[in-house]
Amino acid sequence: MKIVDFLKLAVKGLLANKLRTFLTMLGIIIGVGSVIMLMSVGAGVQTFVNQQFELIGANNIFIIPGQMGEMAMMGPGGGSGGSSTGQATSQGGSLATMSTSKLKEKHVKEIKRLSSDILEATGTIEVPAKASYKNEAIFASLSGIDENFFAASNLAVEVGRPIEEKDILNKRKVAVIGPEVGEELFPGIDPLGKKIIVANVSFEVVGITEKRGTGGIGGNIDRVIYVPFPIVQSLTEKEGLQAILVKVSDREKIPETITLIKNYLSSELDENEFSVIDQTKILETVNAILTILTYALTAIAAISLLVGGVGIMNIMFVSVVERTKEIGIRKAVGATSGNIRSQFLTEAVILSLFGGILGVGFGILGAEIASRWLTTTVTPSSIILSLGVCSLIGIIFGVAPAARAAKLDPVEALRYE
Amino acid sequence: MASLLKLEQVSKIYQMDGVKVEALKNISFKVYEGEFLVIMGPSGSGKSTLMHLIGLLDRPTRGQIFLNGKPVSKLSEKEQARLRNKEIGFVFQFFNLLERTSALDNVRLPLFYAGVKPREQEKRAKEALEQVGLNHRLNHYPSQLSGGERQRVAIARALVNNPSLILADEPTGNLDSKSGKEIMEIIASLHREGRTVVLITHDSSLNHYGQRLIVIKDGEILEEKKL
Repeated sequence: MKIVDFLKLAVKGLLANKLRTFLTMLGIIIGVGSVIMLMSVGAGVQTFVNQQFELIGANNIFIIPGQMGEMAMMGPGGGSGGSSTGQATSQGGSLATMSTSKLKEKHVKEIKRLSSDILEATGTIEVPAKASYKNEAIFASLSGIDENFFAASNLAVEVGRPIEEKDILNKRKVAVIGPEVGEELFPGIDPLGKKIIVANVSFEVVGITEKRGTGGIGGNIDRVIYVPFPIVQSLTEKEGLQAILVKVSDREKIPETITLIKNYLSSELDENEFSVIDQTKILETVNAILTILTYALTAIAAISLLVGGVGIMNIMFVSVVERTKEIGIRKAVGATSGNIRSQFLTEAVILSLFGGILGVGFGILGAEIASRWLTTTVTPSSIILSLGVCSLIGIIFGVAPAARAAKLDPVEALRYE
Repeated sequence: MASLLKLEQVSKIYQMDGVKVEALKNISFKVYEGEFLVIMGPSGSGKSTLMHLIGLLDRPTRGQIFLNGKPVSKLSEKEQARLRNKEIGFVFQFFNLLERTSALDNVRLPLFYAGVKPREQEKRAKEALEQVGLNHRLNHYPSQLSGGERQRVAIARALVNNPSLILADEPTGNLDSKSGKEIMEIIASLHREGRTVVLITHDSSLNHYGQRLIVIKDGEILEEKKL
């Protein structure tokens, strides 16, 4: 007797009662389907979050005035380190530190020279401001930047041009606006070339940044107006920079670069006058939370797999009773108890495994449908894991019914009607 | 003549609701190679128990059974299954065919457990069915066959693995007299071909097919005679 023989036998046995076989598999199909789907959503969200961090600068280091504890970093605006996003600064605390900021442009220049791993360094000043065009008016963040800002922050100017060096030197009144600013101030109009009034100063719109969406981490960078920083400096009459944004060549280089920057700034300023932070810690924490969430959801889905397994066991027991006579006949013509056990165990495993394969199919389909609203990634490991668990379930929940079938006394079994 | 089967002081005691029932009491007899033995007894005489013991479907409480000179009662479950497969062909009163399985596949069953290759299984099963005159019913299911035809499938299954002993338990008990006669003719022809046959029945009208008769009653041998 070979395994192939038992496979054929089991398939025949299962096909003899197709509806029941399908209904028995349903538990496993649903279980595996939901496991695959939830794991795909989990993996998808994780990928999405990591991409978001990448976008807003996983390679970035932020230097902000004053002291910032780890708790503050975890706050709503913390993700951006108070660098380029208006909301972080307009929400209290940092404004006070900003007014007394000891971070200056010379620090930006010095920091850029610290290491060849530092690709860009740029200083920003940001204040909440009212912006208007003709009859439209909105509140947005006014961000004073230099020509390196867009390169350093990985933010693309999609339409028009960015702020350039000559704009800074000549203190030109030009502005690059976030897409939300454009939509609200210029409904149905091309903003390029138009003049907007911000803090009583008229700026010509020269560019629009790419849309990031408000859902991302790091506040609403679609609602910022970028202008040359000397203009903001003269508006606020403060010289201190609100943040210095540093772009590093590689995420791996961040810790050593932070040390370099800290050492440099310590020679210039007091320890409590600046903070150097990066997103590694936040990213780690968020990833850890997402991983736990994914596992928790998967574990809940796995309970239905367990229920599916119990369903298989239940039906297999019924099947053994129903087929008592068959077992008797098989034993009479020479089947050993081992043969009978293998036959029923194979049936249970096929039920479970085939249910698992269908479940994977439905799970992928479900993930595909869910991907309209969520980011989903079906990982090969989740498929392998599910199918492995299914085989295991088939064996675990098939053993008891198969053992009962094997143990049947042939005389009793033949007498059974 | 060499004995194919030998029972030595065989007893079988059942526990039924705490009460001991002695179904067989110190039974001893031999079955010779090529012989047609009829074991006759009324219902409740212990003849079914006897058949189960001879067919290695059950074990005696006391005593020993020898098949081809070897003690078989204490063999492992696996060894006994192998002997049932190779040495014994059962024909039951209620046919005991697998439903939802074609005549051909029913006959193949012993060969399947014997580990015979599928192609060979099919060839030999077809030959066996031809021998019982059912080569036109290969792919019919038991439910599509008459009682006599079903019993013929069962006989084909019993002889397909070329066993040393055909063990028939009331093979005509569930058939009309015409079909019953046909079945007995087939069994008799198997005997004429040289097979050893043990027929267990309560029906004395079948006695004339046999060469020797053992009558049992209340678990004991009442009479043993040549026919």
